[in-house]
Amino acid sequence: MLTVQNVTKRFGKFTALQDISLEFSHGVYGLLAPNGAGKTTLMKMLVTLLFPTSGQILYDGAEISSMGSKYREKLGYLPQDFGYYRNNSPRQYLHYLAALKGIDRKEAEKRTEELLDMVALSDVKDKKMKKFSGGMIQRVGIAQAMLNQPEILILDEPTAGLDPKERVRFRNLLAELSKDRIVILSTHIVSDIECIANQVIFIKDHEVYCNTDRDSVCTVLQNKVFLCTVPEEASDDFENSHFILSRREEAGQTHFRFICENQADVPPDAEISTPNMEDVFLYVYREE
Amino acid sequence: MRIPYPSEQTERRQIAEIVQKGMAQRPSLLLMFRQMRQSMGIRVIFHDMADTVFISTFTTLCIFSSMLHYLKDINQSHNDLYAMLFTFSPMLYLLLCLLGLWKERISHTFDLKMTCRYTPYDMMAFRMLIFSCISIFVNMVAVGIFCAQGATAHFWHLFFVTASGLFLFSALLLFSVLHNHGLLAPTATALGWLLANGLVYQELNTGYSNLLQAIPLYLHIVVTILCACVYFAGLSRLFQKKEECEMQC
Repeated sequence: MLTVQNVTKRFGKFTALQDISLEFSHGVYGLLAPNGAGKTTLMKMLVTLLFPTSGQILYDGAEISSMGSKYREKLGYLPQDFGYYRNNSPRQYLHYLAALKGIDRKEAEKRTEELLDMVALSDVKDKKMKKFSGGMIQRVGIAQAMLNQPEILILDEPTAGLDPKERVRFRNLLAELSKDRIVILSTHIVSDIECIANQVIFIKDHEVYCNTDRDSVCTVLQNKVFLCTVPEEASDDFENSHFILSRREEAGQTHFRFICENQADVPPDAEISTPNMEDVFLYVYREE
Repeated sequence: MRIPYPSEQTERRQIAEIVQKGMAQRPSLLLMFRQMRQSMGIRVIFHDMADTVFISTFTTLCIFSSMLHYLKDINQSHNDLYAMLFTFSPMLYLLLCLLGLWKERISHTFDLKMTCRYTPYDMMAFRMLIFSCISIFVNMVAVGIFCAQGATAHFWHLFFVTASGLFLFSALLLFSVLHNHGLLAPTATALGWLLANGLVYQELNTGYSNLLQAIPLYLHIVVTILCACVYFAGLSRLFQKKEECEMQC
């Protein structure tokens, strides 16, 4: 189990994270927050790239920074800005990283082939990466994170640059991997979290705003999300007086999906709607 | 009922075993390097460094050739030789290390590698050791050529001037790498070395070479050994160094 205990991280006078406490066991954990909320700082602390100003991070009871290479051997990490050697092929680069991870050469060769196949890069495994698209590079990044069959897989914005088909493939892969390991992924693409995360963590104002299972997240907006159709000429007034989640124009009418916390303010012709995680995200971060 | 207690000998052996496992001593630097070489192989440790090695070697050869050309009447101007060799003795090492660090930075692979079993600092420590060995050899050959060209200087005296220069600079560069995550401090150290030596040379002129020449051989050897000890202690700290990457956050 990976435990974050009362962790605070400061950069000079700026507090990036304040008194964070979390526990991770097997499963997929989705870290949701807008940019600048401290997601990447938390991720970097979990992979020992940064150290807490106060508090501690433990893995099976041992402080991760003092575990050194023993902890890193259990780790798979995809950074937000995945760096690579432009003149290397994916196969060369994965072999190189496998050596850095201390994987035996024969095992590395076998694993590289498996992973390249898994991320659908077998056809271009010997092509130089400088010719690759952003999505292809991201897939190399995902493959390298899984090279050492990590017990803890930490992915910072893993689906950025992936097309819908690749995204679905990636979600399925993560769901399969999470059976026997900790998978922590940070993103602001809510649908990724909605599909695969067992547990959702919101960070707001540098603190944990909520840490709950996927199904419970939406209860915060239970009976507060509505659908309503308004004539086009009244749509601006309606928009200014309600918390709008989405707006669609059709045949002189405007269809609104909105949040209304006070039942007395709900228009009589509005229909109640089931809230989703994107609604919660927009609601939680409405001031940002 | 009789409880089967272990014998005193067994107790001692088991206690020693527990202490040994619980208080595992850090292996020596050379042993760690050996394990690293066996696990990763030289090709991985020097990955993507062919162009760095080529540029560094070519530049160093150009500098030494220019020195040889400048000092062609070596018997008359050998006073400059000491100052020049002392200043430029770490040139190959400097270029190899700085270009290596620079390439590490521009590839944006630092974060990722820091989460691997062997970190960029481990590899940097290994490379620095190899680079210093190569630099000693190159300096020795250069000194040999200068002596063969008619320099009246004593070979070993001249060699230890280059060795003390190399290890003094190496220790300073290592210190800057240990205390600064970025490229600024190592670059400033390299420029500072060249500038400081240039200023002393400008101030004292041949007096600088005379000073280096006047220092007895044993003192050069002592300085070399001292600097080498500081350097190896620094390399040991660099190996498995834990450092925050504040610059990138």
